[in-house]
Amino acid sequence: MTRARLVIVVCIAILNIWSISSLYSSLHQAGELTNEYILYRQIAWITIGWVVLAISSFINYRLYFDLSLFLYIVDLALLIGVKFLGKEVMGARRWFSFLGMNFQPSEFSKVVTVFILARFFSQSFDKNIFVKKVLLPLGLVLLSSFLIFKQPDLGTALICIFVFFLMGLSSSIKKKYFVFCLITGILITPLGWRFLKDYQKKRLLVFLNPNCEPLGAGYTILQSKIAIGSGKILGKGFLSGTQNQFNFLPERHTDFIFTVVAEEWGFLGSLFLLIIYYLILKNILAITKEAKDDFARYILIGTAYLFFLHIFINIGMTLGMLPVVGLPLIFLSYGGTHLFFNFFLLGVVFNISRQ
Amino acid sequence: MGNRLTLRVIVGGFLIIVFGLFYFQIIRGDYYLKRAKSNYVKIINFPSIRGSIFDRRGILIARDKPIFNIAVIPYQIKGKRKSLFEKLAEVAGVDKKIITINYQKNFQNVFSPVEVLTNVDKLKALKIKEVFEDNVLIRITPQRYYPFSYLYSHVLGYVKKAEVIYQDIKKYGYSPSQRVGVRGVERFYDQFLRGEDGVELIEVDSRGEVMGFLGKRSKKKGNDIYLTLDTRFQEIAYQSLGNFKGVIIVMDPHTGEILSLVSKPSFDPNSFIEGKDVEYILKDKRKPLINRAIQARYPPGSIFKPVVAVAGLEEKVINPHTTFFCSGKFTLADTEFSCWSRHGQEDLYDALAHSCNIYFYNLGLRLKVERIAKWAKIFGLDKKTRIDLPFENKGLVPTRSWKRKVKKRGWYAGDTVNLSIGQGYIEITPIEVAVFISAFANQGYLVWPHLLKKIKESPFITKRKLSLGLSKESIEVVREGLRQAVAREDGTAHLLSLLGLDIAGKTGTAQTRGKAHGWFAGFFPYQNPKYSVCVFLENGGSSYQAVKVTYQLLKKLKEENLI
Repeated sequence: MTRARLVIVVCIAILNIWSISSLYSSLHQAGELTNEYILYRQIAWITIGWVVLAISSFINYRLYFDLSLFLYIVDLALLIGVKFLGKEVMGARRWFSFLGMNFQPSEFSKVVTVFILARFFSQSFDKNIFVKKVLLPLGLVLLSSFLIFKQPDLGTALICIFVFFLMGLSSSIKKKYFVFCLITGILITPLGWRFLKDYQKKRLLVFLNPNCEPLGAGYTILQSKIAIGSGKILGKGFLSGTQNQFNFLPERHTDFIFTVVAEEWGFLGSLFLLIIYYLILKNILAITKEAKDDFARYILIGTAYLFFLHIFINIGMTLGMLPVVGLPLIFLSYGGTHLFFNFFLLGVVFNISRQ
Repeated sequence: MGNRLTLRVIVGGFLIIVFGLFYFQIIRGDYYLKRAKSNYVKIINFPSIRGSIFDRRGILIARDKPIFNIAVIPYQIKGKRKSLFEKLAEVAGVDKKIITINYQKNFQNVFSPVEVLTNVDKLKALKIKEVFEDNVLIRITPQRYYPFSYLYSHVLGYVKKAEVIYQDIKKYGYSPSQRVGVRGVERFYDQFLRGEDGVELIEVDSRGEVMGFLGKRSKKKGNDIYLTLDTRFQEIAYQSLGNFKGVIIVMDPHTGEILSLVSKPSFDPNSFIEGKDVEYILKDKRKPLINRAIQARYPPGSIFKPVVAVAGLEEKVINPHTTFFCSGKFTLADTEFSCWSRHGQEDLYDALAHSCNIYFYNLGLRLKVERIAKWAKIFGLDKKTRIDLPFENKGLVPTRSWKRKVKKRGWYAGDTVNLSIGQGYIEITPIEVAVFISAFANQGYLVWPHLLKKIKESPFITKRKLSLGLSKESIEVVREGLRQAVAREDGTAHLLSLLGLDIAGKTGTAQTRGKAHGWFAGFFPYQNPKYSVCVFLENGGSSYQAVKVTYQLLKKLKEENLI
C-alpha cells in the first residue's frame, strides 16, 4: 500500500468514528437516545462502504472509460424514473424506496458526472475541440443537472455544474472556452429564478437577509450559527452542546452535522476536521503522479473537486456564508447513498493508484 | 494539467472556511455563547378554530367551543414536578395518575407547554392559577361540540387530535396539535374545515423571562360548511324510526340533495371528543358506529322489482299487459317457490301494486340472470353512489361468473328466481336504493346524492347526473305501478294514501337470517316529485313496519308544513 492510500484509509477511519459519535450525540436528547435505528443504519452503511471500497479498488478504472456513456444513460433513466416512481419526502422526489432502504439517484449522478467529464476531457480530438470537449460535455452535464434540479435538489445540480467548470479550468483545454461559458451562464442565470421552487427562492432570499423569516429557513441558519459560534475555541465537549441537546437544530444528523462537531469540539476540533479533509484531498491529488493516463488523472481531479465542493458548500452554509442548498458533509452526515458512492469513488482512486 | 491549480482552489476554499470559523467561534464566540445560553425558545402552538357546520337553514350543528386547560412547561418545573403534580391533583380534585398520564402523552419538548388537565371548569382553572402562579399556564383551546349529539352522528362524524395519526398526514400540512375529522363530513370536508394552526416562537432566558420574539405564523380559521340537511327533517326521521335499527333517507330526486339521513342505532359524537363512554360505543353489539345508510348492504327484497320490471320492458320480453297467473305457488324442477298471497291473473301494474312474486319469477326466468344483472348495474346497484361521506360500500349484483369465482358453483335457475324478487345473493345499500328509486321520480336519471350545500358563502352547485337511457314508456309504466301500490286499496303501501301526498313507491320484505328486513322506497308528489324517501328497518319484521314508519315520518313532516 502506498503512503497516499494509507493516509486516506486512516483519515476515513477517523471520520467514520467521528460520524458515529456525532450522530450519537445528535440523537441524544435530555439524557435519552432517540431514533437509535439511525445510528445502527449508519454503522451498517459504513461497513458496507468499506466492502464497496475494497471491491471497486479491484475493478480496472479503464472500464469506466468505456462504460461512461452507458452509465450516463442509466443515470438519466434513474433521474426520470425517480420523478414518477420515487418516494415523496417534504415535497421533493429524490429517493427510490427499496426494501426499506432509500436510494438517491442524484448521488449516482455526481459519480457519473466525474466519469463522463474525465472521458471527454481525456479523449483526443483533432478539430472542433470547443464543441467536442466543452459544449458537448457541458450539454450532458446540464441535462442531468436540470433533471436533478427539478426533483428539486438545487445543491446537487449546482455541484455537477461546478465540477464541470473546475475540472475544465484544471484541464489542458484552453481556459478561455470555459470562461466564455461561465460568463454566458452567469448572464442568463436570472432566467432560472422562475424555475425555482418557492422554498428554494425563500432559502436564497433568507441567505441574503437571514432575519426576514426567523421561523423558516432563517431559523435554521441562526440556530446553526449560534451552535457553531458558542463552541468557541475548545468546544463544549461530547454530549454537552446545548443547541444540539435541546433540539434547536432541525436536520442536524444529516446536512447540519457540522454544527454538532463545531459546538462540541470548538474551533480546534473544526480545524482538525478540516485538516483531515485536506489530507484526503491532497493525497488523492498526489496519486496523479502515479496515474498512467489522462483519464485517470481527470478522475482524481474530479473526485477531489467533488469532495471539496461538498465540504466547502456544506460548512459554508452552516456558517450562513452560503445559501442552504441541502448537501451532505461527506463521510460525516447520515445517509446511505452518499456514503456508498463516496466509498466507491475512493475505491476507483485506489485502483488508479494500484495500476 | 492543473494539479497545482486544483490544490490551490482547495486550499483557498479551506482558508475561507477557517476564516469563517475563526470569525464565528473566536471573534464572535462570546456573543454566540451568550445567545446559546439565553436561547431557550418557547414554541407555542395556537390551535386553529375549525369551521362550523350548519344545516340548510343555517342552524349550527357542529362548532368549536372554548375549554380551559391547565398546562405546565417542563423546563420550568424541572426537579419539582412530582410535588407540583401532587399538589395540583389535590387542588383540582383529580387523581394524580391522570395528570401524570396526560403529561407523558402530551409532552413535546422541554420548552413547549404540556397540557396536564383538560376541560377544567373556568373558576377552578382560575383558582389553580392563583395557587400555582407562574408554574402553570391556563390555555384556552377550542373543542369540538355537536349540539344535536345523537341526531347527526353518522353524518358529521367527529374529530380527533392529529398527533395519533400524525406520521401519515403530516405531508398534507397538519401539525400534531391539530384536529382531523375521522368520520363523516368532518372527515370528508376536513381540508376546508380544518384551518391552520398558529405558531409563536418566543426566546426566553433560563428563568423563563421573555427575551425576544422570533416570529409567528398566525392561525387561520377553517371554512364554515352548510349542509343540505334540514334539522327538523332529521329530528322527525330520528323519532319516526323509534326503537328500530335502520335508516331513513329523504332526498331531492332531481338534485340529489339529501334532506335527512338517519341511521340507527346512533351514538353521541361528543363522547369521542371528551373521551367518555368510548369503550362502550365500540363494544356495543348493535354496532352504532356503522352508518347503515352507506356502509352496510342488505338484500333488497321486493323493492328490487321495479328494476326487474324496467329490464323486462326494455328488453322487450314483456309488455305492460303481459299477464302471468299467480296460484300462490311456483314450481321449478323440484323446488317450490311461493308468493305471499294468491293473486290470480296479474299484469305488470297489478304485480307492482301487489308485489306479486310469481309474476316476477316468470319475468325473471324470461330475462335470465345476465339481463337482470345488466339492468341492476345500469341502476348503479353495483357501484358506490359517491356520496360525500367516507367509507361508502357498494352493492353486490350477482352474475354467473361472480358465482363461479366466489362461490365456486354454477348458476342455477333457482338463483335467477330468487334474484328476480331481490333475494339470494343480491345486496345493496340504502343510499343506492334512494338513488335508484329517484330515477323513477326524475324521468330516468341517476343523481349524485350529496350533503354539501355551500362552503363559506360560495354555493356548491352540481349538475352531475347520469341518464339511464330508458324509454319514456318504461318509466311511465313502472311509475304507474308504483303509484298503484299506494293508491289502490289492495296495494301493499295503501296506508300511505291516507296522507293525501300522492305517493308512489314500493315495499319490500327481505328474508334474511333472523327477522326479515323491512323496506319502503318511494317518491311524491306523483305528478311532480319533490322528495324521494327510503326507509329501511334492519330485522324490522316486514315491509308493513317500514310503511308504518314512513307514514309516521311523512305525517309529521306534513303537519309541520315542511313538505
